[in-house]
Amino acid sequence: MYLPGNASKARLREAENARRNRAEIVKAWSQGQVSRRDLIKIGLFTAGGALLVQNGLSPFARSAYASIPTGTPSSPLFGVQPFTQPMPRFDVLTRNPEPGFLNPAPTAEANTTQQLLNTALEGVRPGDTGPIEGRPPGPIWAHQDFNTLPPRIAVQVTQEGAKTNTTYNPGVSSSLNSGIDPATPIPVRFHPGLPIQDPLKVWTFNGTVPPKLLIGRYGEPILFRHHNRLPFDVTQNGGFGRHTLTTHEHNGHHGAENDGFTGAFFFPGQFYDYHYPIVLAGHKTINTTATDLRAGSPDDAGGITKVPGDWHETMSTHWFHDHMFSFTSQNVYKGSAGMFNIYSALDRGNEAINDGVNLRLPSGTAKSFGNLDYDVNLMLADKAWDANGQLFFDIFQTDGFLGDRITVNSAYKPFFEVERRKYRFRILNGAVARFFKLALSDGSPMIQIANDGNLLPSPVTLTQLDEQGIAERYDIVIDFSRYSIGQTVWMVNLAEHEDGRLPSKDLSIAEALSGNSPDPGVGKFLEFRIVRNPAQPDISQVPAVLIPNPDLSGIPVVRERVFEFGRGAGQPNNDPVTSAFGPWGIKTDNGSMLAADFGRVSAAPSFGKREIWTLKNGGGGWDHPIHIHFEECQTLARDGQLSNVPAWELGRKDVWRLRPGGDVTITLQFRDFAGMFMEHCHNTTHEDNAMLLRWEIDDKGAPFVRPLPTPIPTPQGVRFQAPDEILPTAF
Amino acid sequence: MKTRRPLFTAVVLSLMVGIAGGLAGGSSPAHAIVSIASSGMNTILYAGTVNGPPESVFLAGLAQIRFVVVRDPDFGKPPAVRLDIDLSNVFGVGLTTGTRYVTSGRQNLIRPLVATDVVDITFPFFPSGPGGFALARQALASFTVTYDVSTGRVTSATASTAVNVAP
Repeated sequence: MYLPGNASKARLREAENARRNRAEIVKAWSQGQVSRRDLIKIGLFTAGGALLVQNGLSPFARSAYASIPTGTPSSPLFGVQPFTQPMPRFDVLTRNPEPGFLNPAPTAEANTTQQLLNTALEGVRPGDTGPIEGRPPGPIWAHQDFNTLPPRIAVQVTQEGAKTNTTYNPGVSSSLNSGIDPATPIPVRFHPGLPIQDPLKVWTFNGTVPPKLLIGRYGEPILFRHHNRLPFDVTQNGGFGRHTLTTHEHNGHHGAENDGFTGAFFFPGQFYDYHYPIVLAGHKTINTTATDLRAGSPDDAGGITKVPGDWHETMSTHWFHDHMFSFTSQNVYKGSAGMFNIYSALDRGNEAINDGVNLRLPSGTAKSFGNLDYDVNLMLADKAWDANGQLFFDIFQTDGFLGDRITVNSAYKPFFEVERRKYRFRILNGAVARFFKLALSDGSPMIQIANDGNLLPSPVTLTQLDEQGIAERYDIVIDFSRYSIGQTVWMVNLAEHEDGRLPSKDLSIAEALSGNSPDPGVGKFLEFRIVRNPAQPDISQVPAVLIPNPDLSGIPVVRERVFEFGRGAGQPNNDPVTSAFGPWGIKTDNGSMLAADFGRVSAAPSFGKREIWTLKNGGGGWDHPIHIHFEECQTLARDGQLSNVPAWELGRKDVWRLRPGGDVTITLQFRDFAGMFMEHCHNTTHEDNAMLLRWEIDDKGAPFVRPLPTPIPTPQGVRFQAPDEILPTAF
Repeated sequence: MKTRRPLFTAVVLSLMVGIAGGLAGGSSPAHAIVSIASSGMNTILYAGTVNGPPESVFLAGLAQIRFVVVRDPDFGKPPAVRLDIDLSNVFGVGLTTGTRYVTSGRQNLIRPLVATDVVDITFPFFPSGPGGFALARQALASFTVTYDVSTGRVTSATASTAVNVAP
């Protein structure tokens, strides 16, 4: 997908010109100056969603020189060599006691206090006012259970352009962070030898790198106040990205008002209060008197505070990211992504406490919970940059945008110093369209302990992990005691792409290390340097039993639904805010293949019930990592059979790669909370073009109504309208 | 001084290989999805000895290869093969201690459909019993799968070699 490094000057020049030309179109589209419909009318975009094949314009043009689809020149390295910078640990967000910290104090319903609006915002006239909070107003979007689960921790973040980090908190000592001095300011760049990013090119949480880590524990609700400090002027986006935001806590068991619904976005100058109760699913029906020690939260003295709910629903590794309708890929790529570690009685983040409940996974011992010493978050993402070293993105690559430079925690091919002991790595695929398949360069075993947010029923020992689709999280344990001090081993990507639709070939380790792959994303991307023995003996464990699945056998299935993910989608609606346009779509219960419309209700399962959903890949030339919001699901079958479900997918999940021509059957319940949620491809290019649907739980009783009104945000406030469409099988 | 670990210590071992049941399960028409050209399952007798500390281990058993050949009528790209290689029915015996070993190797791979595809995978093996997985070592298995490209069906599959991986 990238031109080879030895491409001719003429070929590179043509490709660069094509990139500039289409960048202008990207800019106009992303800034709202033209719509996809406009581009179709003027003949630059096909009804199928692709930019027309025109030499010197289209990324898909088979140019006179470029035989590779995008024909994009390689991202220049400015002489930088791989594995010459330390990998930064995540930047831990400050936890503040609440009530008392946030001003104004959070409210159950959206805070509609008016403020004078900046006239640079679209549709704003001088003197216009709008609410300070962008959350849709009224009881339907009020925080559910706000009075019974009031916030005890406040975390306040901004979204803003790139700036130097002067408050880095890795949560560990410098010796456990490859020698990085947290007091040294950190500008936003992918390597010390690469250019500093322009504030319009990179938009991150707090405007800084490394990416942010949220720490939580069960029974301790968090109020996550997100301030939008992006430019008021929609055209000030560096050529891609949209300044409106909606933040998804993936895959929180929260009310829909906190889920980052794609149509519940907020504007620059506003904030949005997300209330994360952090409860065990089923907390209103199972173990309601909180008598089971396994359903618990770590207290500050090494003990357990029991909480209601089913301990089998305990979750561990989440992440949070932007979910702006039609702009998720651009905004996440620009930096709107962080991770969220949730601690529990079982997954304590303390490897020393031996109380018969704590699983004692690799972590550390100093704190009662949440030790990060040997519990490391890794966010993998492929990036690309232009001749000036500035981040580059191409929204017209509707197959899926691929970068040619692999980053870990926003650092280009770094190294990480480790001790001779066990480490837990929480690995997130934070890419737009790239799948990874990971192995150690020497083929050494790794133990997979979790898939997505959930610890597995039993650990699985592997030498090569399965493909990891976008948004999937794999928690693994690597025991570095098998190595000697001074040795080095690399993490290697085996999944080779030709385009963004799916990996074209899973390579052997030797093939991936050979350097012969045309995909620059293949091969070594993270170097582990074994630097010393641990100061204390490694007492961490990987128990043979982790978290068995909840037993659903006694819960009747009331409904089965089928969702097929494919191409050739139609869009019967013309609402310029709610409906998207693109080649990708979803067919519900054998209906029409439909492009996304967040005003359309595609499914409305009943509150408190269980259903079986089958997710089908409608083609053989692509794969889709399908994400279902809100509830963790159990995988019943792949291609119709349970025996096709590998051991590492036998726990709960929230993202499934369908595989080419494949299907997955899952079961899920709808408990505790209600509102409108989503289901979509997490290849965010596919999601934005327009493989996403809305489903909702709307029969929980007041204030919910069937169907739910659709929010239409504006700077002056959110209005509501009736759904554009309700599919015949929705209810 | 930094010492780089060797990638694979390629010790080719004596090996007994055969196909149990030939194309067990055979190639069958796929279910109704138009993009699937064929699917089926092969079971291959796999055996070999992996050397290295703490002891050499004789591994033997049935490797199961499930394949699904998928077409791409939308973009017209060449067909691909989804391979599911399951080595969980391969077991081992420690040649010094008699310790029983198990494997947990299963790989889901996407590969281009070519007449002959050599697929190398690593897999872990470890002592059976509680906590054994934490003592896992690794081995390399190499499978040669031949296809009738015109029909997209497997014509043969063999485990052609096995090598140690550096301990």
